[in-house]
Amino acid sequence: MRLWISSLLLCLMLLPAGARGQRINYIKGLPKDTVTVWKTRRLDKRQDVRYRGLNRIIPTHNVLQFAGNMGLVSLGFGWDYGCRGQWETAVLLGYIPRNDGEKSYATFTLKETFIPWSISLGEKVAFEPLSAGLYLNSILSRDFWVREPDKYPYGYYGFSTKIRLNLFVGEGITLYTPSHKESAIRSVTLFYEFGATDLYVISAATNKYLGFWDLFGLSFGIKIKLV
Amino acid sequence: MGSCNAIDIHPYDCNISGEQDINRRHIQELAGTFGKNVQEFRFAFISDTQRWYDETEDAVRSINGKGVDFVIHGGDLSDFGGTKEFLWQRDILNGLDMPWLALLGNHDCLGSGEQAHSVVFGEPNFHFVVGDVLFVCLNTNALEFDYSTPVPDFDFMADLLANMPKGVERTIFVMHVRPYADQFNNNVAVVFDHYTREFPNVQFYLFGHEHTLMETDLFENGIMWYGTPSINRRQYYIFTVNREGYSYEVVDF
Repeated sequence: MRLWISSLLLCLMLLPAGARGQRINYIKGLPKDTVTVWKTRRLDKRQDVRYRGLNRIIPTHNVLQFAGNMGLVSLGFGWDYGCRGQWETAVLLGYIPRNDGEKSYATFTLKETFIPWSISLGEKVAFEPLSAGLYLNSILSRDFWVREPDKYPYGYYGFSTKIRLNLFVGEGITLYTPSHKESAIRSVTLFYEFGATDLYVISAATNKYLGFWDLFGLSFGIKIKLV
Repeated sequence: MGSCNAIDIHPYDCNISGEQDINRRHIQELAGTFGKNVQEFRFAFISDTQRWYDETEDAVRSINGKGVDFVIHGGDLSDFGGTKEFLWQRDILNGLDMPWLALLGNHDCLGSGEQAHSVVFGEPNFHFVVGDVLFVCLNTNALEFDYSTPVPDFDFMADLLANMPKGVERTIFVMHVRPYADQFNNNVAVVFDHYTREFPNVQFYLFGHEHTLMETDLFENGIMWYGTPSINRRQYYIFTVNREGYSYEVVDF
């Protein structure tokens, strides 16, 4: 079962998001029922461009992220939604190298991001001064457990070695492809995040010894929007 | 402030920055300090410092003022088995003015912790000699392992008995979990007692894990077992071993 889920995810990952279904043209010659263009707001120039009907399940972006307690590198896809696309949900597969240990690991991440503003810096560039969110990360290995194995007395350790909750805040800059050009890529966003994982939060909360960089880690990524 | 690292790959990434193989290096250091004609030595025994970084720092300060020759940590340096936890603890304990050694605790085995612990500190079973005293440090966290890994490892002890270092006349055993505690393989508790007494003139046994100060003649054979509390209790043992025998004190800090 686990193998099946893993392989399914891998297959989905390898399919470039947006490969299936009809890609809509935005701005010029937009089909009537596919898009809502909102009036430009001072802090937000984003337009809501969506796939039609059932095609809404097609991911709207691909994402590549480095570090962030989800692996050295993670690759995934996601969906943006909300009237200005402020909300994003993404799934990622990550890779933890062997480093000084005996094994390398794969991880799975479910990530939710809120990006309230996108400030226009000209026709092709926008700045997102804040992104914030959380993600659940699961290390895909039998050495880790969600619930304590039965051999332990009930509540012996009282936490899961497998599932980590991470919180983050960050910023990004988005480069749009010119609107008059036919392009498979609508925009490219470069972002960074400061993230903390639950185990470090618990540790730092009760110890003066732990400093900022013990609690937080810096992570970088690139997001490629397809609609 | 712990080790400064801006990039977090994963809490269980086994990405070890800085010093590794602590136990072997510190045992070498000890061997350099002590010749064979040691009349007396003193050591501190602490344990269970997991997620009590501030208290561990205080303990280091306290021990540095006590003029002990070395320090033994009874295991549970980490709470979650996370890689960074071992590095934070290592960096704090490196504040000790004297050599120190760390055993494997049950919390240290969680996730990839056992791997990280072995890289930073060393093998889960090890020994060292000070004067005529053999210290046997054992992994007794049986609940964390299945039967493919022998815990406690009688073969390790048999090898040691067969290749007894020269000049050893007395033995001190150190472990994280004592027999009859929850983690121990209690099917062999009595066997363990018998087998450890095959070693030359066992002085006493040391353990941690239970987070309370303990002192008991566990097998009612006149050989004492001393349990040191978790570091948040702000207590640890200092043992003085000389030709006449040994004495101990409990330090509050």
